[in-house]
Amino acid sequence: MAAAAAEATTDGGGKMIILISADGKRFEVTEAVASQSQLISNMIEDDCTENGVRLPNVDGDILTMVVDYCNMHAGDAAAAGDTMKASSTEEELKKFDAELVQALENPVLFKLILAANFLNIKSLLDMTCQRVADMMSGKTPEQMRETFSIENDFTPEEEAAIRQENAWAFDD
Amino acid sequence: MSTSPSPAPPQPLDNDDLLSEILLRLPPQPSSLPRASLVCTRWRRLLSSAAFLRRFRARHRRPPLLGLFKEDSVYPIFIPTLDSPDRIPPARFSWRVPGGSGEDYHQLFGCRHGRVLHYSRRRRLLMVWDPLTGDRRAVDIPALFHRWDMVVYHGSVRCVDGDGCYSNPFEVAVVGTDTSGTVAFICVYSSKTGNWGNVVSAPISPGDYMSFSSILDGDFLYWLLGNHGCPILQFNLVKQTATLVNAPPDLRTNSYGGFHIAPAEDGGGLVILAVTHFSLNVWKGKTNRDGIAGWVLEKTIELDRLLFLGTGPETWPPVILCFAEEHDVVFLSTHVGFFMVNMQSMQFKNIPQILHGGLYYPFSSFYTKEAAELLPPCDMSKKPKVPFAGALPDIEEYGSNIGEKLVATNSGPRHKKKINPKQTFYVGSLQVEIDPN
Repeated sequence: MAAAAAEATTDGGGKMIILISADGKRFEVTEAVASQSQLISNMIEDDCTENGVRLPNVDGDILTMVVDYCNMHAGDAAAAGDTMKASSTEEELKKFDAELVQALENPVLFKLILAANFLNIKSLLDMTCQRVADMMSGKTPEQMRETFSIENDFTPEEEAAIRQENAWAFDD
Repeated sequence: MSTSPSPAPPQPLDNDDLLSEILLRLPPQPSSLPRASLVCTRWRRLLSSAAFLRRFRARHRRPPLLGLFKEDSVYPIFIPTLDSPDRIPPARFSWRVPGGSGEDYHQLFGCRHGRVLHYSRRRRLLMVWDPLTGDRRAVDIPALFHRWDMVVYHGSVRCVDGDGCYSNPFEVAVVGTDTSGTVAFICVYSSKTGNWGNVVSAPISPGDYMSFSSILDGDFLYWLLGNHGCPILQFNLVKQTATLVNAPPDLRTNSYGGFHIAPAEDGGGLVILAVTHFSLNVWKGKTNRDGIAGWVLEKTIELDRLLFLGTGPETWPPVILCFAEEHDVVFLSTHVGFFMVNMQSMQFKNIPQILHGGLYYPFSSFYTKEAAELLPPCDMSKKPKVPFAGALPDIEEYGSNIGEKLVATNSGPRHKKKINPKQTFYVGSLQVEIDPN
């Protein structure tokens, strides 16, 4: 078990927490960083993070991104811990966020959404959902289906009727 | 129908909650939801749900500016100002006003929160029209304005909750005067109660007349009066008080390109936009505890430079057509065409249509599927049984069957004089004949 290794330690005054991904990868982060997840924040309040926090829904590669994101966004709350990361300017954060989501292929982006949702990290969920919405924006229904592998379950008659209702909206 | 989809579909899109979170972030442009609704039946169901649309409106808050309505003697004419695929054709928002063939005098009082306020001067009837749903609510003018010596100058509509949802209650304020022209009377109708409130009055100078638009800023309604001093009538919708505010001196003399009142950019108070030569002057109202105490020339925008107008003998100064209060956009007519200018960003757009003459009112609304589905044949069982919003008092009978021609009997004595026999009004998909006997 991970209990011994996951024992809470301190580093520069910030209490450390161990996060364990579905495939057993371990990440050591400060409480301030981890608390951006409402799920973990609640666990910290309930005092049940001592043996590490197992996240059976989140793979190691996704958790790496999540931890990177949380480290970057820990802001003032992390000042007591990793001062270098905490001093990120707003501009740096924007750049980091844009690079984080824009490079992702759909399957990874979707896993990141699920992780943000499971961990309840509002800002990351907002950013990743916005990225998917941006990908939909300006696309025709056919392009959206193709991009997201969605089956068209309208009958041809239904589709024609709905299209007819607002025919102008489908002009390109 | 397409063939089987490639690999396992991505999970967040299979979860209604997460899919909602994503779709909520689509832009508020009118083509967004119709397009996404055609992806599959599940998306369509989700995008049509009242709960989703409520959240969509709440998230975006400010509905997109779809275009202008022009006052016309026969029917209000919609002029789209967005580009394809968000360009809603004029026919989508058409309404042939009953009796609108020259036998009545129709006025458009303006648009706000997705609704259009129309006034039939001969019938003395206000109509609150939601162009998206086609829903029309007839509102009789207050009893005071039925007197022979009273005249309704102008009116203003607002959604009480401010989000422009068709089902939300609305308020209508009308302002008018008597033949002496020395007092402005204001009265507010609430669709919640179905009644007009108390009449509030404020002294005005004889000869004052109303400009043809109103501005809403918070709970204040403003009308610019047309006399030499161009005072502004300020009405507090909550406290129900009316006061007159003086405009900057010589506004009328110097502003032959027209002037217009607008909410201040920073969200507090009022500004006056006035065109002198090729300059757009922005006067900001300085407020104290009692309201606007004076005016400061906040900035001057050189329209000839901004819009590349050029000046010379063959040119004429721009004229303000109207102002979109929800978007801080001013519409201008110039010798090289028509423009909309965003007062915050100074970005502008040329409008290809010819907008000469007449009165124009900017129209903003969310184009949401739920609303569009209410077009005929609509399911009236989901809507209030009474088609009129408390209007036309003393109507005794309403039917409830969909599409049935309803005959409403009006026994109010004053209506016998005011309404011709068997006038026909259209409320949503319903045709209503009013028989004064």
